[in-house]
Amino acid sequence: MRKLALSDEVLLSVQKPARYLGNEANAVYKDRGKVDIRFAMCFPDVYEVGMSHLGIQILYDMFNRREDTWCERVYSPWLDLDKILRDRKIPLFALESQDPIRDFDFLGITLQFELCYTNVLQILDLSGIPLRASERDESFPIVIGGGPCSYNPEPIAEFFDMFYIGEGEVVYDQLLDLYKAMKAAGKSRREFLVAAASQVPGIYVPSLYEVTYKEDGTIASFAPTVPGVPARVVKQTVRDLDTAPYPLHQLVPFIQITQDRAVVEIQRGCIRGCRFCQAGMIYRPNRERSFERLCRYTDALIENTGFDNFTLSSLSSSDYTCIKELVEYFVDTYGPRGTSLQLPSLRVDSLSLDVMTKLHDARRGNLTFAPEAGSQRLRDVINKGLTEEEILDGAREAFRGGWKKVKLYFMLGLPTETPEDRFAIADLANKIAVAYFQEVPKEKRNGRCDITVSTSFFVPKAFTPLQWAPMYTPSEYLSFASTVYDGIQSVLNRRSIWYKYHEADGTVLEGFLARGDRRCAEVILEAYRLGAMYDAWIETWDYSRWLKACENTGVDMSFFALRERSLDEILPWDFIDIGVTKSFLMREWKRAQEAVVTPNCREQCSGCGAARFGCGICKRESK
Amino acid sequence: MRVRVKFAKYGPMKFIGHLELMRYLQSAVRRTEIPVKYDEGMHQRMVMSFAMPLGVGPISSAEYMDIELEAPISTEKAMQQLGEHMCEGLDILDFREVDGGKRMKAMTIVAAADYEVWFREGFTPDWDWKAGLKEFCSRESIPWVKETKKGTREVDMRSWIYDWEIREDKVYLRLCCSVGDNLKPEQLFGEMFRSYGHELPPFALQVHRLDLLTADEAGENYISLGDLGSRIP
Ligand code: SF4
Ligand code: SF4
Repeated sequence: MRKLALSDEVLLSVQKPARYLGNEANAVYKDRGKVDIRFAMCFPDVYEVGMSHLGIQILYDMFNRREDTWCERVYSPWLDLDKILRDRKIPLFALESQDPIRDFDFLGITLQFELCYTNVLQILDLSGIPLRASERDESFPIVIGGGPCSYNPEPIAEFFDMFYIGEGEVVYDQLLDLYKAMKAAGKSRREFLVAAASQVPGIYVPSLYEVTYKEDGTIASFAPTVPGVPARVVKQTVRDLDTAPYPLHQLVPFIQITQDRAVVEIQRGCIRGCRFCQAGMIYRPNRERSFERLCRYTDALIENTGFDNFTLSSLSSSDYTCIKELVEYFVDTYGPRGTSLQLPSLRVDSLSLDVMTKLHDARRGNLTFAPEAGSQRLRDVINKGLTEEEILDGAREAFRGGWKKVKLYFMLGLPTETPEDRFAIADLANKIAVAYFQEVPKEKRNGRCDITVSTSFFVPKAFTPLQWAPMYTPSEYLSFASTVYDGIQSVLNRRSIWYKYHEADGTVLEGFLARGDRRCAEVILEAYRLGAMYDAWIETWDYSRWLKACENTGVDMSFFALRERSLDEILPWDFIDIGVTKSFLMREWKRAQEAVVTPNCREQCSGCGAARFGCGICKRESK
Repeated sequence: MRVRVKFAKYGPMKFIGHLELMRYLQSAVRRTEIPVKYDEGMHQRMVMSFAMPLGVGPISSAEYMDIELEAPISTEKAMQQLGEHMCEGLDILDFREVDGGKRMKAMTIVAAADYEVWFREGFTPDWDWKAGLKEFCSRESIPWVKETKKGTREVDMRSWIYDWEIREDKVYLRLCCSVGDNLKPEQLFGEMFRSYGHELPPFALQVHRLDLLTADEAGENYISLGDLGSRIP
């Protein structure tokens, strides 16, 4: 039997000890002595969140198919265990072997959102790995980052030995082979880093690049310091999803996790070019898995996991060509066994209502719309091709079908936004309520309809057409939200409408970290020293730590967070080539300011640059 | 057809609570070909019940879970399939057809439990606890205020101690264990400590449930739940 890293007493005194045991169904165990590479895969948040992430399962499965590699998992210990580990100096360990992370060859950290950066430091710190890559000697694991936030890795560049820019399925094998060969040949850490950066596409080694700054604080130059290391790092893209590895033995956790179900990824990338959306740009082009393949995956997953709950995952499910067939297949095959299906990110139209009706029979849950902006003009600015008519038609049809709960998502603080646009949010919500009263005859109404308006604040992200846009101060954001509130209070059906808005200071921090450069690292380190951790959790969120950290380090948060960038400025992430060109993004930024919409990839190719990968929707368009 | 699955729970699984264990076993059963029955409700849950939840901390050599089958499957085949899907710390020990009567479910008929109890490393008391236990268990009656979900209840703890024996550094106990009346080893030790002016520290005891028992028809002898029913050919 495995020896657990924690004593009975510790495990019995923390919340949910199952977070730290491993042992889930489909967890992979290997013989330490028989593998060459030990890889610890980390999601820097609590178990329930990290375990819900598909990307880790993909890599976990893929790495463990290699006989020479044992990939294990590690998540952020929750605050109770965090304290015990620090107090008793117990090193952080991997779930499967329960061995200290420090003894691994690699520590891979997936970066899904900026507010996890202090948790990255927590992981390193608890593992006993120096926080700065420059302070790590030969004995420490290679710390490698990946995931959406690695598309601007600069604020955390100092903490990582390397980043993998792209989709994990592509060149990891090449990287591991290289590592194994160089380790066997007794090469040094630095030799490996240089070789990886120069030979493996998509690998970015921050320490091999130098940045200089202008007097006004913007970047003057960004260039490799070692011959052979590329000036631009090209994002790696899976060309054919059907032949890419997919995990069919997904982990089945003991405790309930955030996404407690088997997951089938039906497609990657999105045909729509919403201008605020980073996923929509960095995962271009849109690529679908074939219907036949998905049916096979579904069957295998049900057999291998025993889950009675399933989700079809993608950025925009309705756009999947065979969505109707797929749902029908599922409902026909597994419906009788009581297996349920989740289908997130559906657009509300007659097709999806049809699909939803099939999914939950009598149960009428929430109907979700994400118009993102209240007025048509502003929706055109962000290229959210959803018209008021479409929303109202969808709502009418849904009300007729028995739905009465509607959720509406909007962003505030978008470029060119005015108070009229904010009032338009209330107006739209009101029109939906009116539609309810018009569509549903009095005798069939079971009380009022229930409309929830949620607003978050817009954060410009790297590699989006809005990456140059300004942000606002927390108090400005709150005033935007109060305009929406006032608007809702002034409409006729205000009693059917609920309003929720997001934290404003967290938004500014997110903006700071999303568009920051290497100089932000000091702030992150200082905030961590001051106790910042789990910044995405209300329990632990404390903005004052970050303000203090900026003060202590003399870094001006507003320079990175709030400032509108000029088009000729070198952006910290410009060295990454995601396929989509900067000139396309600039064109889109200009069209945004003119409120001109751009058609989606299925309607017409806009020549974004991603066609160079020669796959997915681009190929179809050129045929 | 009702089947009683006997299994052991130990090692890392002792930190897994009852709800999580249930989730695990349900998905494990679904990974096999065992033709298990689902209820008719909206969510179609597996018909499954346990003799007595173990909770987090103790280990057990004999847990019992009742499931209903749509069609028979041999003990051998079922055990092999289930065995393949057990993680470290769960062992399938038996799979028997039992009386399917309404009042014959394991949770209804369970009457007593056998335990072995010892102090975890570093928790052995610095006073003569063995003498204390001897004297405590030899009392005529032990008035005890049991805390229940609904409030408190005055009972005689002694009447719930069916048997006991000190075996070197371990203690064997047979205690009352049923849906209505239930005495846990921790509670016995807690009261015993208190009566000597000590406090039983948290996590001090390691409890090992050896078996769950039911009373025979005369109510005189106890038989293991595992001895009921028969293996399916
Ligand atoms: S529909 Fe728009 S917001 Fe949604 S993933 Fe696609 S581009 Fe992004
Ligand atoms: S090249 Fe054209 S079709 Fe391909 S992703 Fe870009 S806009 Fe869409």
